[in-house]
Amino acid sequence: MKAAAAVEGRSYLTCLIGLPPGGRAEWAASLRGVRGKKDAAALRLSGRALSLLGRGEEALAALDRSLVLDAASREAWAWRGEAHLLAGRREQARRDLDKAVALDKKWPWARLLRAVCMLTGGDCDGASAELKAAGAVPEAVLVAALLEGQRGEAQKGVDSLAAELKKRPRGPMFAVRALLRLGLSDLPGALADLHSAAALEPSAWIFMQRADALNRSGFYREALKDASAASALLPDSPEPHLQAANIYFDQAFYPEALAEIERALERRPDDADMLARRARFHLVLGRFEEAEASLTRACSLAPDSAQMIFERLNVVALRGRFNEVLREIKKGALRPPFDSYLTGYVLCRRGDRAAAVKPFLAAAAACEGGFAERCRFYAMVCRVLAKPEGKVPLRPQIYLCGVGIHHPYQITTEILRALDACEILYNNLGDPQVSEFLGLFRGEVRAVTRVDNEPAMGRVMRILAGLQRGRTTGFVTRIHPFIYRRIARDLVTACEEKKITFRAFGAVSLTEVAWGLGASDPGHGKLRGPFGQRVFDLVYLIKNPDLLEASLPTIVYAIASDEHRRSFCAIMRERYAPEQRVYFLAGSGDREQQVVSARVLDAEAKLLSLDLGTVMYLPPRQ
Amino acid sequence: MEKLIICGLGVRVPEETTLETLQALADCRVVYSDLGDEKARAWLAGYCKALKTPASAAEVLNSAAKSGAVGLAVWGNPQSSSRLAREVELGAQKAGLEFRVYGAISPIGSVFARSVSFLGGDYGYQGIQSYDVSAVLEDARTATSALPLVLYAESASAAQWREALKRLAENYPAGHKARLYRPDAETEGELAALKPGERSVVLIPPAALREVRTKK
Repeated sequence: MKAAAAVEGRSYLTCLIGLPPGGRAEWAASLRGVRGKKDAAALRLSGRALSLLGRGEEALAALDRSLVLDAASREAWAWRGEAHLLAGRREQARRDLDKAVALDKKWPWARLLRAVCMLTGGDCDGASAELKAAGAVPEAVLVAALLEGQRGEAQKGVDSLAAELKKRPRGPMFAVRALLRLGLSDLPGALADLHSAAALEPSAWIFMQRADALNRSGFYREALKDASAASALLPDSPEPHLQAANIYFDQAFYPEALAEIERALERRPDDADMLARRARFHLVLGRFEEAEASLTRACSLAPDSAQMIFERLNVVALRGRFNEVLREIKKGALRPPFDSYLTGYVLCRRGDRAAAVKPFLAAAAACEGGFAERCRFYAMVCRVLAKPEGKVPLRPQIYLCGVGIHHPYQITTEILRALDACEILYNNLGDPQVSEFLGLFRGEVRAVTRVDNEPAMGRVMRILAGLQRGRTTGFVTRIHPFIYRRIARDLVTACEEKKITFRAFGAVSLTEVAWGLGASDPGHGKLRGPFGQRVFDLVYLIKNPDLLEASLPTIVYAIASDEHRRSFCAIMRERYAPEQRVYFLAGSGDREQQVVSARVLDAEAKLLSLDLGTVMYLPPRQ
Repeated sequence: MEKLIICGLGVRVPEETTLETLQALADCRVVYSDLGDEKARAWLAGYCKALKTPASAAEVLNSAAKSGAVGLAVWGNPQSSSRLAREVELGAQKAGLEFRVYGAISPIGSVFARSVSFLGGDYGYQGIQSYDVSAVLEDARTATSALPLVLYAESASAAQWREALKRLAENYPAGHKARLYRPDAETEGELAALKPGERSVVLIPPAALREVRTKK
């Protein structure tokens, strides 16, 4: 929850700024009222209005001018701090808010904004002190609730809002409660709050938050509608377009994602972060030239960004200009760990796997966290590939490869060898990390793009159209290709029809992960194994309840409606003791997998609150 | 930081071993493995600082109690294939040792890929079961003929396999066919006539389709 809350920091702020009286119409009227005026007060007001209307760069320009005329205005510093916060520039925001507080320690708005600024940086103690200093202003209730969420006490935050919501039901308040509920994995509760918020005070911020919740729930079409509604309210803001781009991208609608990010960039053409984001989209699509152009421009706008320089050179490496990359590294263009990492990457791509191990390990030693994990993994990839392969059976025309739930780390050695043998790799995963991983091999990487309302067979036919005789092709997907993967089944059907040779590999699937995590939980019983197991589709199990044998571990794929989930829970309550614990696999896509447990008695509420792809593990009856 | 890493190496070692597992084992001070296949064992040793055969779960647990992480690597998936892994896991819980079980390909995952079988959707099996041979020998009623069955063992003897298949065959129509997957070969034949060996997996289709598979 803590990490999630920090990421949501900007959303916290957008809720908070919804609190001042007056909606969009009032701020637009204020802006019209001060048009043409050049005094400090007018510039201040227009700056704030522009900021709240989503025109961040213009807002900052107006507030800069206002501060030149009157540097003693607490409001000008506070509103500029707010504008910086909205643009995601926390350090600049903090400096401005410190000034505002220094000018007037008792002014609650500067204190509240500084509390939010601290919250977005994860500084709970600092935020708590600011709240205390702000005094008993009604808006402090919201920030206090957010603070609880940041501390990992989201339920306390939800409870603390109940009384205030009864007294003064307001959109931002519902929106904050929704954020806290998201932290509690209560998606239906969060969505209900966001619906209330949108009905009471529809704002771009609330639509964007609801879009995020809808997307997380699997309703990406509805999410896109909300992003569009937000854009209609904030036509000059790039944020709703960026959100739409990300939603499209998550769903593999790559051309649409690119079109949206272009719209976002039209509104803020010099945003280095967005240019880098666009480059990552291009990268997944295998458009290295465009990715490089985008990153070159991003680097010129943010010349001190080590991350962007690294990303640009990474793309240069993917384009095969190995010597250029090595020369740049030698000249000191990259700092550790990026210098060693990219040296290893170039050596691996060049086929010198044994030599690539050392620089990858050196990069791992120079950093920590996820990047160190990746470097160590790449070193292991090179160690495995550096060894002779042994006898190779006749290669098929197409390999079907699942790279695991924790991708690409759960790739097997045989899949690694297969990818290394491929000349073309179709990437069915949107994760840029997988694109980068596939760049270690010599094959040309192509994205598997979705087209709205097109069945999986459409994508399959596009893949098959790209097959070339004598060139081995790989299809890369996330989990086991034959477990709940329509596209792989359609690919097999088409291959059989067209007499195209293929080979599939086993992969770690949700079955093993749900079972493994559940059985290792301290709340799991002490039964000794090895166990047999049964695996079911939930709807099938409702139709065949006699097949649920409670003495055996059971995995249930709950890709089903609420009605079906309720029916299943009724069967479960008949077969298992009310206090027995059952496990739900939480987290999907790129998030780390974990299980949450519930008693059979309470399982229905939990199951109904989880997203569409939930997998359950029912331990043997105790 | 985990004191104990519990890993499965997949049904076909090293082909089905994940790199995540290899990485975790490579970081361990010592890796214990009861893997019977000498060739696979030699391969694994190439990635471990030290590789030992455990005499008991207690030996693994005692070693894990000392400084530096210890690994346990077993055939298949630790939850489905190894009494030792489960015993070590329960012992670690009891002793309060930090441990982590890594995801591994199960016999179901392995045999689905090799047999081109599907789970889920309107085209695949809607339910399936899998058992170690020893579980069927303890109680053949554990398995139902209404669901496809995946039967596996790392080191069951020919006699144990014969007995297990004989008991199971009683629940199926005469001549019911199944498919046998050995590490490097596969065959189809009548259930009771199959001759599985070490590290084998057998896929037995259901006796009668009860909407188990709506369409091929």
